[in-house]
Formats: sequence, structure tokens, C-alpha cells
Amino acid sequence: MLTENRWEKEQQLMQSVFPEFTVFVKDSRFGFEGYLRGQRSGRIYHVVIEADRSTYPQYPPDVHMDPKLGHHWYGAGEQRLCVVRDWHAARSTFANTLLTAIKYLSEHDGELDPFRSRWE
Amino acid sequence: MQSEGLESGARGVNFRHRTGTELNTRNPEEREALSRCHVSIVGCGSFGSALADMLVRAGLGRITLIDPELFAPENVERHILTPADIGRPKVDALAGRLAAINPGLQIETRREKFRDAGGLLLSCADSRRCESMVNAVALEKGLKAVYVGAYGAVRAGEIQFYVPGETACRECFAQFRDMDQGDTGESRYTDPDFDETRTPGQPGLWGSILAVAGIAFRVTLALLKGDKLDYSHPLWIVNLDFPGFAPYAVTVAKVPRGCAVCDPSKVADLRIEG
Repeated sequence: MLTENRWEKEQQLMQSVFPEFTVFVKDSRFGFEGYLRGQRSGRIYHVVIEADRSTYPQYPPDVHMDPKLGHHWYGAGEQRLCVVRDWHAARSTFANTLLTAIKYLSEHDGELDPFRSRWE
Repeated sequence: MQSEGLESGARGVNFRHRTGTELNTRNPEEREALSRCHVSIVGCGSFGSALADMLVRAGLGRITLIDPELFAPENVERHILTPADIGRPKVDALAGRLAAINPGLQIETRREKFRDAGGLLLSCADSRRCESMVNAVALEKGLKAVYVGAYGAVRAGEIQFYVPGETACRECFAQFRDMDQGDTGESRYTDPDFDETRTPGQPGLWGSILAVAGIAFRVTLALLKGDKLDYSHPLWIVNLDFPGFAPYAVTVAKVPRGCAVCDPSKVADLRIEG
């Protein structure tokens, strides 16, 4: 369950390391969004990291990317990144989660998509 | 629910069998104290069913059962339910058993994932994320809580209790543990509700479950009655046959209070890891 001072601290951490990411709040959902560039492809990815007030920080934030890369996505509709994240409510933060997303992007950006034809 | 052949006695505490024999007379002190208590059991598997049975036989007055799952064949070896209950929601089947033990028991069943509850929270879930939610609710509402679990084919058990304002919370202890339990099944990538913090099924004997549950019952009873426990040592490790440690020993461990979940002043210490 999100507390006011936890949210302030989360924003402070994000601002210090990822100032280009902006805050959003929509009903009970809240988080950060911004853009990352794939170093190999040069492609721009829209990244959203969001959580629900009623379950954060007990549940980790969801990570969404557009366009998606790699195959580690699950869920109906707006799919979430499902790479392993060792989440601890008393230690982990949105900024940690964005680092995980950056690591995922650096590993998978520029990969050939096996589901597409090489002549496409 | 009223069981056949039983009549409620004074204050709903004692019951008389149809033969005229008075039941439940051997532990009047506990029965009297527990008849006014409410316990919410989160997770109605091995530990949850064993503890529900123990508490209701001791005279618990009100119980809330929370579990989203159906009783499955692999549960039979370590549960108070029987093969006849396979396919039924665990909470409903367990409620029937408990009502048969104490017809005066107030029972509420919730076939869902834990989000909220009242009374003393007894966490018997095999998901660390669920424990984390129980901890959040205990902190938010100022409720006492007990967390019960086992390791390595129930070679060792773990019990932690929480008393608002007195003890460390669950996150104070659990923040150092591995959260991903290594379930490599396909559901990791196909189940939208996949919980990587859930312990995959493992072997373990019902007798071992009962040994740990019996000690957890005593801790829960002490909290319900208001008996004094050592609040600086809220973690009890029960060793049944873990190699290298004294068998059948209970180690009581200190857990320092204060983490970013239970102590607002610790939020300032949050750092970016990685």
C-alpha cells in the first residue's frame, strides 16, 4: 500500500538518475514513462513503469515497452515484461525496475526476430 | 452451520452430544478466551488446514478462510480434507469440516487471493508476495500476525509473529531472502497471474507439518490470549531433521525492528541497487 513519503522518495530517486522520465497518475495506477534508445538498432522505445496504489510496494511495478522486443512478455491486452526481478518491498524501487528494463533492452535490442522472415 | 447430534450450550462455548454427554470441557480457560477471538487464515493448504483444526478444537469463536484454489489430488497426503473433497474449493470444504467440529463457530469463506482481512492474520501461504500483502494489511490496520512456513521437504519450519508497535514486521526479516523461487515451468511465460515468489510443490510428511503447526498454534494462542512473548525474538526456527543442526530443536531468533515498509524514517534510506 503506497504511502506519501514512499512516493516522494521514489520520485526523488527517479529524478536523480532518470530525469527524462515523467510522472503519471491515472486512477489507482501511477508510475513513470519515458523513452530509451536501443544502442545497436538506434530504435526508440516508449517505456512505462506502473503500479497500483493498493499493492505497491508489495507487488513489483509492471514494465511495458512499445515496440516490444524479445519474447519475455505476458498478460492479456497491454503485455508486461516478465523477466525475473528479485523484488523486495523494503529495498526495491521504480528506479531499480527501470534498470532491469534497460538491461533487458541492451540484451535484446537489435536481435533478429525469429518469427519474421529474413527476407521481409 | 449446525452439526447433527450437537446442541449449543451456554454462550456457544460448550456443546452437548445427543447422548447427553457434554463436549469440550477439558480446556475451559482457553475455550473461554478463544471464543471471543477472530482469526483469518490466509492459505488453506497444509499449515492452514492444520492450524484451523487446532484453533477450532481449542474453542475459537470466529474464523475467516481465504484461498483461491481447489482441493487437488496432490494435497491429500498433507491436509485434513479427504479424497472426497477433491475438486471442491478448499475454503468451502474446510468450512464444512470446521463447522462439524464446532457448530457455534462463525465462519466466513473467501475464494480469492488475499487483499484484506480482520482479526489475527495467520499467514500460511506458500507465496512470499502474499506474505508481503498480509504484512501490509497488518501494519495498516494494526493487527497481530503470524507467518508459518517450511523448508526443504519440511525438514525445518519457520514461524514469525508480529505485534503492532512491538516487533519487527515480516519485511524487516524477509527483505534479505531470495524472492524468486525458481519455478521454471511454462506458466512463468503463459500465466498472466504467475507468482514467481511461490514455492513450487515439494515433498514433506504430514507429521512434520503437524510438528511445526503445533508450535505455531502455541504462538498464536499466546498472542490471542495476550500472553507475554519475547518481542525482540519474534522468529522461531523449528528443526526437525536438518543435517548439521540439533534435531527437534527450536531456535528463537532476534529480528531488528525497522525497514522501509514499517518505519517511515527508513524510507529515506532507499537506494538504487544494481
